[in-house]
Amino acid sequence: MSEEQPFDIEAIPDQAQEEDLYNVYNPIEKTASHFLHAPQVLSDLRTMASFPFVGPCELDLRQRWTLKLNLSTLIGKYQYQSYLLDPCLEEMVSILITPIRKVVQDITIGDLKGQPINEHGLDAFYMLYFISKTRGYKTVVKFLPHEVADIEPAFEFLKTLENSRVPWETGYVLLIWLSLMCMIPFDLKTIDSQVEKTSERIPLVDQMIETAKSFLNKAGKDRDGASLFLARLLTRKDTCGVYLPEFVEWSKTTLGSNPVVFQAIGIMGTLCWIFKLGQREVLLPIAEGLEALLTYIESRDAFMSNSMLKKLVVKLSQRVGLCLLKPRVAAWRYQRGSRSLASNLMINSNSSEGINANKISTAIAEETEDDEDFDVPEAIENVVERLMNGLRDRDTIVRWSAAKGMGRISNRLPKDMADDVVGSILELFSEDVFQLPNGEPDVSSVSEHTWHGACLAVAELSRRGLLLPHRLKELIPWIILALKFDVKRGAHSVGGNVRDSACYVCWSFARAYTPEILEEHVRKLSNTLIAVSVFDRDINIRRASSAAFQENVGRMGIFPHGIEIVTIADYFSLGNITNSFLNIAPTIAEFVEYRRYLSQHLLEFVIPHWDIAVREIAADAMAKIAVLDLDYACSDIIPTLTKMTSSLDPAIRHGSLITLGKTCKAVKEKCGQEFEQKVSKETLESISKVVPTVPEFALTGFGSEHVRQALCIHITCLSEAGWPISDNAVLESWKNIIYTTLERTEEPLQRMAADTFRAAVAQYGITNSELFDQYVPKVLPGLASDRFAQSGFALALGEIDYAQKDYSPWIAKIIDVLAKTAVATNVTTAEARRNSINSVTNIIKVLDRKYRQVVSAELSRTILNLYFEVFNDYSIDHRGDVGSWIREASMQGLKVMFPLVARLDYEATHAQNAQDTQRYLSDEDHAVILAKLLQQCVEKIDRIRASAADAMVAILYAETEWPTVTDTTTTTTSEETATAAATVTTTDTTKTDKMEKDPVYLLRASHRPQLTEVIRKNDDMNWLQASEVYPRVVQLLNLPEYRLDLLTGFVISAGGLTESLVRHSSACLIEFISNVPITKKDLEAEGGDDDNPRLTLVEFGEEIMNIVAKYEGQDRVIVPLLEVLDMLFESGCMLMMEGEYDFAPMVRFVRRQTIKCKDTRKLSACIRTYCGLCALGGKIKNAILLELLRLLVHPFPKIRRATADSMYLMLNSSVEDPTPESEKVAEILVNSDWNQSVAQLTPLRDQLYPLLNLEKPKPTPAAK
Amino acid sequence: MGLLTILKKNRQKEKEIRLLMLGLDNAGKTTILKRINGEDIDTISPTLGFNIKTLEHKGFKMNIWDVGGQKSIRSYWRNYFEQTDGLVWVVDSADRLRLEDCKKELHELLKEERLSGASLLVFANKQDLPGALNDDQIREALELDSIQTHHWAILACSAKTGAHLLKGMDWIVGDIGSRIYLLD
Repeated sequence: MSEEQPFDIEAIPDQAQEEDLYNVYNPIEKTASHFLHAPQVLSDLRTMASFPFVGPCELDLRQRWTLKLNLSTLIGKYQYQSYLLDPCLEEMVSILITPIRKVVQDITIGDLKGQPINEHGLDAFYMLYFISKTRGYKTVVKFLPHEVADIEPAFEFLKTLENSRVPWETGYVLLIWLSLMCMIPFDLKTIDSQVEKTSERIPLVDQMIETAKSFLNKAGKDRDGASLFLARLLTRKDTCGVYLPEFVEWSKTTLGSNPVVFQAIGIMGTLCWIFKLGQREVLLPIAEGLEALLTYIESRDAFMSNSMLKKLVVKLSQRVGLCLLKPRVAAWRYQRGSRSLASNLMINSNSSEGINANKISTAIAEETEDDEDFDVPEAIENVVERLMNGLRDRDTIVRWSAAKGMGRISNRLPKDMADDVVGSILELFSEDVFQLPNGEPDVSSVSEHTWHGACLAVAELSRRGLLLPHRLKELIPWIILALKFDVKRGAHSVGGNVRDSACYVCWSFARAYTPEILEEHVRKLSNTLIAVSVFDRDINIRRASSAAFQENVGRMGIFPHGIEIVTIADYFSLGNITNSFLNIAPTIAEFVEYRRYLSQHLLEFVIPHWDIAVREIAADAMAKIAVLDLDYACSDIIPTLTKMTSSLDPAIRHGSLITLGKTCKAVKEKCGQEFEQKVSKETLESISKVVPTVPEFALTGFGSEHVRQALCIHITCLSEAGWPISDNAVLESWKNIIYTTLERTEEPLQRMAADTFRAAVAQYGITNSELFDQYVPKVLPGLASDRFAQSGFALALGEIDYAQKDYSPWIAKIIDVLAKTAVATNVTTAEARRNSINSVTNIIKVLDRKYRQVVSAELSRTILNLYFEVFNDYSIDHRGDVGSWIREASMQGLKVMFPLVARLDYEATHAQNAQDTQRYLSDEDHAVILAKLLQQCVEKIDRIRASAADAMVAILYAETEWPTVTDTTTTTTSEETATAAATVTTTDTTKTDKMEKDPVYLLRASHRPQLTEVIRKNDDMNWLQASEVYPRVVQLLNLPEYRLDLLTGFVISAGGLTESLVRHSSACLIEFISNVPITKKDLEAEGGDDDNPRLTLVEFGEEIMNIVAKYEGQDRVIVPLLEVLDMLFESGCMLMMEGEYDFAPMVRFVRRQTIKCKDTRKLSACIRTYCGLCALGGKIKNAILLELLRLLVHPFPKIRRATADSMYLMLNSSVEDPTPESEKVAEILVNSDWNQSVAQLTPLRDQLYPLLNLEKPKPTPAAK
Repeated sequence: MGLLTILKKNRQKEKEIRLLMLGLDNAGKTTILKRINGEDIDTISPTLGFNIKTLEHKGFKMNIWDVGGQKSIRSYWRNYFEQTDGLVWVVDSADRLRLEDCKKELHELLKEERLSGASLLVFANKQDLPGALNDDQIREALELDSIQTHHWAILACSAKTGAHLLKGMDWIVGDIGSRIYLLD
């Protein structure tokens, strides 16, 4: 039935596959259906061919490269669909070969004899090579001319290449061209002009062989060209008699004399070609001598370490074997259907259309049994042995070659011998296979190379019909094992190639056997192929397995639901592992025939898989499949999983724990009330015991993090399913797992345990004493002893639903605990602080609209202050600015809290019977929130800026309307979901009414237009990019209410260390400052108003001193501030307000910073700021000069040098005319070595006092 | 190289067929080739060497090698036997004198090991000429019925008029296509 089946399954995937391959390399372009670029390519090729190939080049190097590159790119696009080139191929080739032919003639025997070919000519050769590389030389070579007259010139030209620097492509093209030409059906003697009548030898052939030999030791592809050429030449009827034996002798001597490995490859390659092309009777005498050569090569380690050479040994051995055996089609082979199907059809068809039946041969006569009795030469045994060893070789190409050889040789062997071969291939499978105690084979120590080779050989044999049906019974169990062969060895896995080749075997079965033969194996095969198609870890195996399945469906028609499955599980849908596991597999499991097998396969191979990601996704797949057959799930899957959880193998334990949890949850939900009747009591009990019986070492030892992760998922699922717990000890053990996991060092585990905690508390509750006597002490600073437990439990405290009646009274205490933890910078880790903040945010999130009911105004104030306070967390440790985590958490917190609370405020105050008019967030709070965020959005860390901007957008554009909720995942209980859904619908209707109205924004901030100008909604600005952020945000310095915070942020960035950040932030700060009016008066003159406030320079100076007042003592701000002051003085904009502004406090501030300071960066900044301030002149200058002179004898040489340098620059750039004194000062500053000891330098320094008109201060102990 | 690569290669390879066109000189091999290739057949001279043409037919790609038929060349036919799927033997049906010669060459050729398994199509060409033997007569003259080693078919045709050429190509492509996946 299958032969006539009209269903053509191959057409679709083939196209799909090519499309895919093509897109991998050109993801933008679509698959071409024809040679789109033909006109362009042809015209470029014509251009290339139009230049003279001799003499000076007409194009320069760049132009030639462009031409070449364009062509290669256009043609290269078709590498994966090269057959599309075919319609134009002849033209493409002839455009190039015509001028090449001419030039080759001209420079060898024509007018231009002796002249070299130029670059244009070489380019033409290169392009010809490129075309042949793209389409394959066999196809291209047919379009090359093959006239007798070309042979000698082409060969003469080849000779000139031997020692030239011409690119190898030229030689390669010439060699394959010659290999075609030397097939001409004339005696070569007749074309050789130098031949002597009497001699057997043909001088031209002698020269050709010598030249070609010289190409055999090349490392490039021209070596392959030479091999082909030599083989064609030597297997000619008129040369094989004399030259072939000579060449073989030469090969043997050369190989015996330690050739370089390239030459060895060249020679062996040539011999392989010779044995492919030559005639058996000619080769037979040579063949016998080659065994010794092969043995010799195999004995040389230098050769056998080269995969290519190893492959050629196997290949040559195979060809020799083929030569020893008479070519025949094995009569005994298994043939599917009638070979002369065509003739059968002819008989039936109308005779006027077809050929008359009697004019067609009948089927080939069956060879008789006598035919089987021919002698098989003994040498064949060596060949088979070598191929057999080749099948287990380390290198894939060797195994491949051996497998193909096996197929070809067996085709010529008599039946019983070939069957022996099959037998020994099958034996390869049992190598290193041990028995498990339950009688199953243990493949863990099997060599994946051997199995791969064996599978390939089996596939090759079965394709050829050489695997007789009676072997299938023995073979198929091995193939089933090979399909699932996935073993972890050390740190990696092996077996991908084995599984792939097993798919090949299954694919070849489809082509070799009739449905009747395979019928008894169909169930196992189809089940396994499907399971591998959906559940293999590797994409190419899933696809290969589905291809094999398709082939079987199309050709056999006996695979259950074949066509439905083929449409569901195709090349694309299986490409994504998630889709394959979670969508395709459950869909196929809808078919009863496959369901249980898929479940079993998951249980046996996928859930215990070595790859944790596969185990995790397998758990989800299992849950989806289990619900399709609840009885089976309850009676089989769940008990099996329960048993697996006690395995000692961590992978099995992990996989089964997760799967058991997820499956139980899914099945229980589906069963509803009936669940406890379906599952046996023992099973229920043993599931409950799973957690308590996990041994201690699994929870603490190596790999325990995976067990704990699995346990957390397990417990979460069971809790969510509302698992019936009869025994309190079980709950205790669950809690124990959760609590000890919360104390783990791994953060993801803590997170997971916190989720589990939430699920467990939501289902089974928590008592007052548990919470306050056990957990709180683990968090509260002062009581907490374990820093990991502190951060873990801080996370857990936020996972309780305080909206519930039982828990709401605790909220104030819990917030208090979290707040204390979050600000205890000295005694807690950054993780604990961040987790505390996140927990507070989480609590707010869960409360949602019940916030005002549960949280008092006072508590709300505490929360807000907490958020504000942690903005000052700039703690650092070895990981850098870990405080940023906490600040970021706080920003995210504000992003959640502000819209919620402000909206509730709005509703409370706007309610019709508004009694409770108290607002939780005052107007001032609104402004402060924004100011804090603005400071963060100009700070140093990119991520923090982006986070701040994100929060600001959310806050600035929060509207009084509740946002339309699309999913209700945030709410926990079903009751709540219902109310939420109800509110959603009402707000929806009101929304449509108000559609026309402008949105009412929650944020009560002045100067909204300026703010929205800078912080835009739906903006494509990249807040991570410093160059975009600062120029825009700097405008906001005009707004007085945010000025201090924003400027602080700016100062920290502009005075920082990161070069790019400093550049972007300082440049726009200075530019902005240089353009502001100096005083209020100036501002009024320019006409400012309250709606458009502007900064004045004097205000700016005051703001600087405000920062000083606020942050003095925190070098984190002060050092950058000094740097910024230096920049501002250098740019001159500070000096513009001389007379309007009192600089004295600033000088005093700088002086305070120099005292007892050991930070050279800070001191240098101070010195430079001093010098900047000096420009003010007068008293201030003298005071500063005294300070500077003091610093000239600072204990640190670096500071002394810096002071001298800065002073010199400052004095030199002053406007006053140089005086003898000032020149003397400059000389002392420049010419002294300030690295000398302070004692030596002090007298030198003292000389400066009179010169600068200063009085030397009396030495006091303080000013040393 | 996994199964997916094999499939891709296999499908491409499967659609390719190599045909060898042989026969005595002046049998009309090149004319047939040019006729089925849609080329001009007025200016054909004896083939000194060989021609290669690639044609699409029935979804297969045929590479046809047409080798000259002069006596001096015949021993070099062997140069072309590698991997041949089908053999097209062209007979000048009007050349009664050399039929014996023709039979001998054909049977000699079929002994060639490297042609074993190849399908054989015999074209009884030049049916347009007066006195041409018909296909049955040629079949007897060439003793085709004695051939047990190859699938064969004979067809009367005329390269000049183009009669039956297509039918012949249909047969050989069909015959090769039906078995090719079992062979190398």
